[in-house]
Amino acid sequence: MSDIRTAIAAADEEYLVTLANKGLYNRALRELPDAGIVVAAEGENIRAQFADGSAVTMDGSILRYTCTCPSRSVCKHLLMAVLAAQELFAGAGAQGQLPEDGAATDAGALDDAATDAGASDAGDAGTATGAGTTDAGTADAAAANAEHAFAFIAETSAASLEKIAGKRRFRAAVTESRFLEKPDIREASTLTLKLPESGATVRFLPGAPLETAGCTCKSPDFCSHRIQAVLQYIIEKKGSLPQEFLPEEKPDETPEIDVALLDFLRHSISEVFSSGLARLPENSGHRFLQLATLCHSRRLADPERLCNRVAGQLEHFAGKSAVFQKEYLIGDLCRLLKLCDLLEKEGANPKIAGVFRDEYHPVAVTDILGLGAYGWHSTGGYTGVTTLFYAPELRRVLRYTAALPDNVSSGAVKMYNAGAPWGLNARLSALSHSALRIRGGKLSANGQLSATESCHAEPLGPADVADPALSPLRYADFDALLEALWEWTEKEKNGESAMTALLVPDRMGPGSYDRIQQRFSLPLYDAAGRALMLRVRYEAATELLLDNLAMLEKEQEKEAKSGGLLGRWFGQKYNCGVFLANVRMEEGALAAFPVTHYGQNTRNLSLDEEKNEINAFHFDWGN
Amino acid sequence: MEFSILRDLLNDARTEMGDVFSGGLTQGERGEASLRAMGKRLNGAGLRSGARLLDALCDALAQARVDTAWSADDALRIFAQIWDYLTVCLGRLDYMEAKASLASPG
Repeated sequence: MSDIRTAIAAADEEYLVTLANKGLYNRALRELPDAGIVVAAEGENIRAQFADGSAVTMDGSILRYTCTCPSRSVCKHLLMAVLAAQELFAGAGAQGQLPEDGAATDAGALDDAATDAGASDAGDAGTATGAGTTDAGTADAAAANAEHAFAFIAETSAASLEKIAGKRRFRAAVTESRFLEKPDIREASTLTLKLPESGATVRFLPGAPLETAGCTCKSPDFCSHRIQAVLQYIIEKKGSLPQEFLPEEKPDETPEIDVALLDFLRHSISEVFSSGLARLPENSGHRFLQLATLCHSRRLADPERLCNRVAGQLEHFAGKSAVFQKEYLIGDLCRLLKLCDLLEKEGANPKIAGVFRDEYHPVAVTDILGLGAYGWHSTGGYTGVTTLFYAPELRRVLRYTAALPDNVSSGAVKMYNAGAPWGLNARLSALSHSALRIRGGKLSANGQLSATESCHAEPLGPADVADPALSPLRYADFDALLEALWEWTEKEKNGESAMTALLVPDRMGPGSYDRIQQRFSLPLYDAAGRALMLRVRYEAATELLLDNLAMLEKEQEKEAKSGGLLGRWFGQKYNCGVFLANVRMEEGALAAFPVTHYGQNTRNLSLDEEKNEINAFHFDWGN
Repeated sequence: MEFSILRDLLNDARTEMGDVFSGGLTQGERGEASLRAMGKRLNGAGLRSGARLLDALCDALAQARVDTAWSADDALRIFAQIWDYLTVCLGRLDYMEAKASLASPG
């Protein structure tokens, strides 16, 4: 039997309901006897003509269909066409022959008894049964030999699944498959897999091509649920995915070394250096933008990033913008030149070409501890809130960023008080002090968590800054902090300008304001008297932060006079609390940008106004 | 030598390099002369690698004036090496100064 005839014969109620819904299926059953359908089969092409003028054509697969009716999704005509075709084939089979190509029949006439919608007729398998009944013979056989009937799915090769799913989605699904919970699998007349993470149910027909699988997401394409269902069934039957599914090399992620492009890059850099800034044509920035696009197409991530930055700086220069910094431009051009030489010498080495930071990859089910959040405003015209987490299993700081262009943003504080991502019934502000378990999350190479709908977070309770899991981030000794910062600068910088750390100072202040540089400095001291400067430049986006730091200083003074401690947290006592900060070296000193102060009144310093102080002891997951 | 003097020297060298960049590598002798002078200052401060690189850059630029078939690539690579060198030196200087200041808390 051909693929489409196998699929039609096996398409039972469960499958058709998955394709559409129960109501539409019942309606199809009711209307089938009076629909006046004439079914014609021609090779892999089946056409059903309806008395109302509609016509359904299935081209090799139930899902590859067209219907002349205006419906944009699965319609009653498709369901009736499948049911009518079933009757046609079953009737022909009963007469000891399958319909020849070009055979046509009136399904209504074939089945005058089809008035009892939904009734089951387990009688003669070859007889045209009532509308809505399954081909009992086929169903029974499928149920009896369910395992055998679906063995072909477990034997699906990596190459064939990749061909159906597309290379990128196939790879993403294979990576994801290792982190997903086992689906609920039922083998009967159809193979049903219920995927716990997405809630989607996928149904496969016995012996029919994978593309005919139905999914409750109703996507007309071979959706990610269908891909995942195939993978999970293979894992169920074989214990794990065969090696062919897990290639060591990812060809589409391998950079392509195009000597002509590298030469063109070098030539463009050389032109900037030779002619000098003042003589550069105005469209120089545009040329680097084009080069960035070429680098992207060859998966040269770092050269692409540098070309974009050079283009940006050249545009700032051409536009006489105050943002232009010659040192940045020279540094980026020199790095780009060095990269071109290295890539030519070392070949397609992904470590040299770098990784695309805006590409997200699935991450295993993991726990993350909220550390704090800060608001920001970029020179590019965006306002955003970045929430910092620590993932003990990954041993790294992760970020979740919500950002909007200035023209639609109502400010960082409002964004901070808006809804949280990942299906949480909470405000974004709650994330920064919460322990969460995330499933189906996606992470970029530079530690950004995606807001993807596939990610679901389960709140585990408030995060405790004294948690032993956070010890790699906590520093009470500033000499050890400097050593860690130096090591991080040399090895792990990964495009970041500062290292996130939890500072546990012994004392702090007094603060001072430099009117010329418009910068507030608040010294923190460790027990040995070693200093670190919290430094914040005055600008619109840091007004609240500066107010909060000034208030903190006053509270510290008050507590010191009364002999109290500013930092009490989860039963721990710290002289002046714990600061979450982004630490860097600046002009020969340790400096840090403060994000959060943990103490009696824990605050995200750039986001929490006094009235909105967070109290981790009174955690509120409601809106 | 004091950290601040070294930092000023390295920053001056970056400024000179920046000026040469702005005017164009092949645009005359004035930038070349100031780079040679800067090389001497670096040498005097014990930054001999930096001084040698600056000399090499000046030689490459001088050749550009007499050899019309000259390619800017050599000078460009030396320029990039010097910029890299100065950046690394400033980073290390920051670390050493921070280390020293932590070792003698005020």
